[in-house]
Amino acid sequence: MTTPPDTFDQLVSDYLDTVENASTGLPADRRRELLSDLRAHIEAERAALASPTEAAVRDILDRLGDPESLAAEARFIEDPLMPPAARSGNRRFGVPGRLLVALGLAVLLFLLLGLAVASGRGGTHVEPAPGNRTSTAQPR
Amino acid sequence: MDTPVGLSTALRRGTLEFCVLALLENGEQYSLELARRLGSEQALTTSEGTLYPLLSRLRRAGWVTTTWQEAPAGPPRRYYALATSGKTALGHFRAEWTAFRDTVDRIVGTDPK
Repeated sequence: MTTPPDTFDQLVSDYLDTVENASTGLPADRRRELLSDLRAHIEAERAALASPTEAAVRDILDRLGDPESLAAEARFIEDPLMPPAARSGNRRFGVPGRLLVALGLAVLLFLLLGLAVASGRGGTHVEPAPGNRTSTAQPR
Repeated sequence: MDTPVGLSTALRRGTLEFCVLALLENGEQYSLELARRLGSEQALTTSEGTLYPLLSRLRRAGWVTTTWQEAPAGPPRRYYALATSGKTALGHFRAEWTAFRDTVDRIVGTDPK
């Protein structure tokens, strides 16, 4: 059974896409460089395969390493002093994102405060309980 | 929650680049060969892919130079060679490393008796 080469290309592009998505914390030029280097490595390895099989291609990608780890290593090399938490994943939000969240919280607090003040000023209209009406006649 | 960096990773960072420089001491190497060679060392816990960001940094630091050469089959190959500043850096590392390694061995009790 011969597997069409397109299957292997899909494996490779899926792998590279995963690396790309994992490296959003990297500056754009570094990310491009890393992907380019990995692509060249994969193509060179594939060209050297005696018989291109899915297992052989998977082995190439396995030896290359887990995309998350590669991205983490690249980020570390880029900035060894960055704390690991800031280094992983959500760096895309960065400062503007955090400002937005702070702003949203402030607005929410303001609204809640406003609601509390408004309800206090207007007074809650309470119906007097039936038994509270002053009445000269006493029920028997 | 910060994921703590594994011990082997911490040890590798800071030393692997000098392993690369040492491998270039006797002549230029094809990047793929460097990746395979170091990726296959169990104790270094590095996958082949992690060599590429490292090589990139070595290029930027000017410790290595690279040339592209035609390959018999397949795309052109990138070869790495040790630059003068890299050779100096390797020399410094050797001195630092042996002092450090010997001290840790002595304190931790792994020194050869």
